[in-house]
Amino acid sequence: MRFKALNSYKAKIAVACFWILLISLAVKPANAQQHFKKWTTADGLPQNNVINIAQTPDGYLWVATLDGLARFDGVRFKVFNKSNTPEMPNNRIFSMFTDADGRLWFNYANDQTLVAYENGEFKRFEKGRDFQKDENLALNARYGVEYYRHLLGKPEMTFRAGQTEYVYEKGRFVARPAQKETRFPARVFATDDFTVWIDAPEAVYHVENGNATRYGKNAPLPIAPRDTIPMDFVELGGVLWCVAGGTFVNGKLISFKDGKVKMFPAVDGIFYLESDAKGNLLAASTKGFFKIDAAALARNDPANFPVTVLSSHSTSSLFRDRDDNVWFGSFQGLHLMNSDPAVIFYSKQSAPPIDNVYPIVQDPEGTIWFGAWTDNKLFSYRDGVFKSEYGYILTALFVDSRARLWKGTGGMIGYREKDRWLPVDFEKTLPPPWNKPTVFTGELAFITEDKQGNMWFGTEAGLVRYADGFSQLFTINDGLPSNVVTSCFFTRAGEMWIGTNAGIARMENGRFRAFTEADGLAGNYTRSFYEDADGSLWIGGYDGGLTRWKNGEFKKITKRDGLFSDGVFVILEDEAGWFWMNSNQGIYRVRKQELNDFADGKTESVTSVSYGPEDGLLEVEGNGGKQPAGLKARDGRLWFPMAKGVAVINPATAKPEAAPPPVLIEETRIDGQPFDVSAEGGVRLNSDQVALEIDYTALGFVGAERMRFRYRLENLDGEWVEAGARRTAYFSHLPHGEYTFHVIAANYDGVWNTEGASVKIVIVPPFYRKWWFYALAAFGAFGLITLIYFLRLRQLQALNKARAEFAKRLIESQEGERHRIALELHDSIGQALAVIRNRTLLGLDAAEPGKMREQLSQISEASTLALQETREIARNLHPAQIENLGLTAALRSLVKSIETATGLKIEADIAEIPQKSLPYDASINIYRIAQESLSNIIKHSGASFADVHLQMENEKLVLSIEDDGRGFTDGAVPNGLGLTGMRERARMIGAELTIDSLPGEGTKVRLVL
Amino acid sequence: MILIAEDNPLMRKMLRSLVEDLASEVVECTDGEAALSLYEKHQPAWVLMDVSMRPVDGLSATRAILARFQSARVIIVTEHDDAETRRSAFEAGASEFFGKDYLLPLRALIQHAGNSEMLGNAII
Repeated sequence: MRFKALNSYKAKIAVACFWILLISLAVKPANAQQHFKKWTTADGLPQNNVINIAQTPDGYLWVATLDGLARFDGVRFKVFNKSNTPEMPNNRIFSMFTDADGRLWFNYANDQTLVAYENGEFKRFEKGRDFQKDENLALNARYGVEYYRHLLGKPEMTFRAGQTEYVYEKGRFVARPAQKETRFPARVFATDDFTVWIDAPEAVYHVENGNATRYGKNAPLPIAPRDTIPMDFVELGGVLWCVAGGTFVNGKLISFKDGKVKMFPAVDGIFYLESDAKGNLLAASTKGFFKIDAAALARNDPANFPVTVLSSHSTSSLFRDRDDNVWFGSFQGLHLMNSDPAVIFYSKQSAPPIDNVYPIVQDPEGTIWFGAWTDNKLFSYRDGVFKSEYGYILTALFVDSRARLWKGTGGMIGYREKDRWLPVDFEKTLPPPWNKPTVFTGELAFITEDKQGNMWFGTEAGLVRYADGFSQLFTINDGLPSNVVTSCFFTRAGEMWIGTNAGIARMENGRFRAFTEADGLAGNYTRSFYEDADGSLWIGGYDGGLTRWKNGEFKKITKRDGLFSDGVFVILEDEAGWFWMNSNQGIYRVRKQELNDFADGKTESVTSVSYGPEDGLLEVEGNGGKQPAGLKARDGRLWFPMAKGVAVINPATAKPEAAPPPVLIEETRIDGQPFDVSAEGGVRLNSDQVALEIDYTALGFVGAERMRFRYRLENLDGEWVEAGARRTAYFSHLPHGEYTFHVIAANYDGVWNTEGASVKIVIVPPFYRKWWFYALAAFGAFGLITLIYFLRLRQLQALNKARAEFAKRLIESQEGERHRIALELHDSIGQALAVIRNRTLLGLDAAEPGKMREQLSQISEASTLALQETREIARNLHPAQIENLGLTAALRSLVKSIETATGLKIEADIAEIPQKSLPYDASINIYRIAQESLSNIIKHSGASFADVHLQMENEKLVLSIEDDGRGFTDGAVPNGLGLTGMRERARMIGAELTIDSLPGEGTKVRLVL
Repeated sequence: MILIAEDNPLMRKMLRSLVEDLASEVVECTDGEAALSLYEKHQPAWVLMDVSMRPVDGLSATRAILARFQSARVIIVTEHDDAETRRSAFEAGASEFFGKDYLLPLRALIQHAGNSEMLGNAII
């Protein structure tokens, strides 16, 4: 209650100060950046002037700016402004106030309108319509103060205009006569002169210029409660901290205890006060943002009052949300304060600057040593003090059994003795080119020592054992999976394991036995080993995940199984049983028990807790591959080499696990158009709508980017989709049916809200997926098929009939032709031959030479006739002229022979068609058509005159035969083979044949080729 | 008198020359119909009848002649010298049957027949 009241008050003050600040402040750049996470217009904030911050009961943070309102879920800003919210008169929000029911109230610059937001809906209330017009309500009054003093900081929405009071009840404003206020609006309040009054249990005090004037509870006061406004205050340890001063602009911090006031001039210009969860006081001022820690507050001593400058941004709003996150708004955006980061990150910005750290060790005296490649430094750290010396590209550090510090650099491998570095001389012990230290040093990955005191060096050329001035090189020839050696580990049982970029190897009887992904290793590129108390060996990969080696069996755990990253550059175990690992994506931890449960098949996944900027890990990229790639210091703190520095975490106090985040479904879009789920009770897609998008979120503001989501469509696949940080689900072309979209989320500690949120989805089947359509379609299809079948059947039948008819006529024709030929043979040639034979016999029989001569004469005559007959038959069978002389000659001969034989008068105009210009089959068919036409004329037309033309017209050959005979009608066309045969012949040679005839008007046959 | 019904002029001429000297007169025609009317008119002793003639073929003409003149002696002279034609010819009432390929016996038949009734026997 107190909080909300203050919040409304802050809003007023923010606006009041806005114009002053604009002209009076020179905003300095941020310095202590690590204390805040910041969002600006670049992140989706509609405008960088954050006027006010509030939170609704559903958990959303609301940010009012001078260019609209934004709803914030930690990642996405949903902007509400005039363009999408017609209830808003303009975009310049003047203030935002949260009432006791969780409603948001807004009013606007230069407007006499109030807007409320409740349960997803905006409502607009206008002066003169919903409440009385009153000049005192002028919103653009000086600094807005005149107006706001009537907007009392009560939990319920009430304001006063003149002698009328407006109370918001059941969706509307109810007017009533202003009631006499008998109580002050807050424990600390102010009057028009901005002097502070304190309503203490025993008395009322007026504070002015550091002095308090006491008024007894029953004494008459020079002020009336209704003329006062609440003031910001924080009570800590029995001390009331509030702001006093002639104006807000130079507001001073005062403490009030037991009727005594103390002034603290260290901070001024204060207009907001807030406390954090640890009892520190936060002061927002025109000069910046300050923190006074709880111990200083407890001393309550102006002379010993250290103030920490958190930000030099002038602060326009301050808000502590229900998870005790402290937010502030400035003219530079929205800021989230990180009061107690889990990670201490030493970077380039630190003193001394530290960058690009690789190997890190701690010596027996407790000094921590690490190499930083930027600026070529070897750092030491002890008792909070960093020192550094020159150290060229330090790739390996090691403290041996004699407490000597070893280093591998770009130029040497050596150890430190009395502040001097003594290099190992390989030239004596190895053949070239391996005897050059540069072969090892540039690519050196580790220096280590076995129980026998042999030194081992991991290089990109192989593994080197060094003892007593002599070296031995082990390579793939000795069984190593690769010569690029990255890591080495001696187990308590005395096993030696080597990691390479192509698998791992275990020393067995002087040789190495290799294991790779084929044997079950999660990834061949190995970066780290760790042996836990149970004797399980854990192997970390560069990009393949984590592997457990236990009882001769490899079990892998990867990102897919819940590991934060597939990079496992180092494995450090803390006292609480967490494995801490480092990767290019940042530092993370997983419970060893979870890893074992997963490896044993007891669970489906593991949960990782990752660290990022919210935790103080400003740059997440880890370093590794140069050993040791991490350190568990003797004090229990963990050191991780990072690309941008070195990160130190105290696992004992590393952030508490947060509560599971509330999960909400924000918006549903169908084919890009927002769909009102609440109105329909679910999503409903018609058959022609294909794309469904569902925006969901989980509310939690620390590590919001690393919240993880899983969703599934129940009734469809049943499998959870790992959405990662994605906050929108996309579906398209869902099969019709009813589904439930269910989304769950985990905060960045890996704590899942398994209940999540869900929404029903109905995909309406298209009409063609409904039973009646199936039935109709089946019926229709059956009908169609039947129809097609019968049509086709009829067509085929007709075709068959026509073919049969044609075949029959063809056969008949052939038979007729054969018959004709047979008759001709019989009648003419046969008989002639018979005559010849008989006359020969008679001649032979004749006694007289005269009679014999006569028979011979008759035989000669018969033979001549027989020859003529034979030629005639042959010519009819096949016109030899076509072959020999061409179509022209053949046709002329035909016409002549018909004229001679029948007496038909034929007018022939037969052009010379070059024999070679016409293929033979065309010629013969044209000839036959002419022959048939003339034959028809002779047989059927009764014509006395015929006309035969053959000529070229437009490069086309045209044959036309006309007669003056009796003609015929279409219906009466003798459907004998004659005409059909002619048409068939025309078709065969690709010619067009037309036969025009009318009764009494002759017949015209025209062929165009 | 001998009547020759034959549509092929070459054959008709040969038949005439074959039997010309055996009869007082040889009458010719080219189809069955003409043969019937000539037979009715002349009632020749012999008829040399071709089979394939138009419009009335020789067998039909034979049947018609025999129907009215049961004693008519019709000799079928045909190029279709096969069993079926031969059977049909005798069914039609023909007295004798000759294939055109070999007609020398025809002359002998007519020459020796005279009025005797042995003609049929001689043929058989």
